[in-house]
Order: sequence, then C-alpha cells, then structure tokens
Amino acid sequence: MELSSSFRAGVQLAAAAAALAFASACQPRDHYVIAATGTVIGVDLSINPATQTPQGKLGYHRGELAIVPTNRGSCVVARDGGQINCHNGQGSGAKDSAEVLMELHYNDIFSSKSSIYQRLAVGTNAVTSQGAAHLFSRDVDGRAGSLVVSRAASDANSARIRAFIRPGGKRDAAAEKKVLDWMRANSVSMPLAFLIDDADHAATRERMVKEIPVP
Amino acid sequence: MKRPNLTLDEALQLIRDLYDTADRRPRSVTITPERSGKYTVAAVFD
Repeated sequence: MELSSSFRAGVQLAAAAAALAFASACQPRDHYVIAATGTVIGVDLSINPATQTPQGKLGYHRGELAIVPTNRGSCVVARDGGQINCHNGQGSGAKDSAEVLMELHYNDIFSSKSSIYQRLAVGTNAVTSQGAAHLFSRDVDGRAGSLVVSRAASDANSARIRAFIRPGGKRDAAAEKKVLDWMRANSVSMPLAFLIDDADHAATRERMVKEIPVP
Repeated sequence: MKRPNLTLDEALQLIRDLYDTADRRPRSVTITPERSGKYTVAAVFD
C-alpha cells in the first residue's frame, strides 16, 4: 500500500537523521544543525466495532530533513578520568553555518480548503535576508498578500534626498551611489524607492541626511 | 514589500523608481487597483 511504503520511507529518514546525529556527536570536528520534520496524513477505512458502521480517514505522509554543517568546535570527555579535550572551531565557530532557506507548501490537497505550510531558515544571513522575509510573510495559501506594508509619509528629508539623487528630475548617478553606499554601510535593507518616504523610516532618513551629508 | 493607497501617478512613479535606480531590482512588481479607487504596488525581491 502506498501509505505503508511512505511510512517506511519516513522511518528510514528518521533513522538516517538519528544516525547522522549520532555520527556527528562522535566525531569531534563535525557539527551540524539538523532539522527534521515529519507529517503523516493517512487513509484508514474500517468498521467501527461499537456501531458496526464504516468509517474512513484520509491524509498523506511526508518527511523533510536538513543537515547544515557548522564550524563549531567540540569537547570530548576521555574515558579514563573525565579529562575534557576541546577542539576549537574554525572561523566564528557555531555562528558559521551554511545558509538554508526551506519552504514546503501544499494547498488544496484533498479539498479546496486544505493547506499545509512550513518555512525554515538556518543561518544569520538566511534569517535576515529579503528572501526569508518574503518567505515568512506569505499567508497560509502561499500568496504574497501579507508582504511587509510600507506606508508613505513624505517629510522634508524625503524632498531633500529626492532633490539630491534627481536634481532637476534627472538622475545623478554619483549622488545615488552615495546614498546606496550609506544604506549598505548602515545595513538598511529596505529598497531606496520605498525608504525615501516610508513612514517608519523618518529617523533613518534624518541620519542619512546628516551623515552623507545631503544638502 | 507593498505600498497601498497610491494614486495612479504615485504608483507609476514608485515603479519607475524601483527600476530606475542602481538599487536592487525587484524580481516582480504588481500594481493592483483597490476598491477605494487607489492602487497598491507590491514588489518582490530576491
């Protein structure tokens, strides 16, 4: 039966994850972030022994596994006297891991209202990236309807920045580069087209105007 | 990222700004009319 083979695959996946976790624990240099998930939705047709009426259950199975290596060092306790031997990690240690973004989305599997959604982000850049923001901002149907909303509220600094990068309505590439460089240096991820009059970034524009400086 | 409640001119200007700077280019931009007669611009970035 399809379900039972899927179930076996799930068990094998879990066993593989456990084996890898065990292996990683035994080797001083290999450390991973292991993320494993599983969902079982099955088909079960049977007779209710109490009422002697048929009953059914419907569903599907899936498994998901991410093994993300890190640079974390490790400590191993010696067998004889509890001596602890530590190996320093490389780079920034546990902070260094491969960047992972995962998404699993099913919709309308068995009915028009069914929906399953999962997101996973591992790693500093993955968690803070625009891609992750987009991934996590979508609604249960996978639509981008819940994108981050940027409300417009122009102020004096908006006008100054516009005049700086578009003097006389024409693009000044050098001035624009100064603005974009400042944004990068200050980790401002909002696109300039939104930032320039975003209601929640008045303070950011104030700093930008002072520090570039924008005349 | 999306910006609601724009006039058509404001929406078109925002789209021009999104594409006409050396900033990151959006992967897709959509403009959607609202019931109020205003427009919403939604931009998706990689």
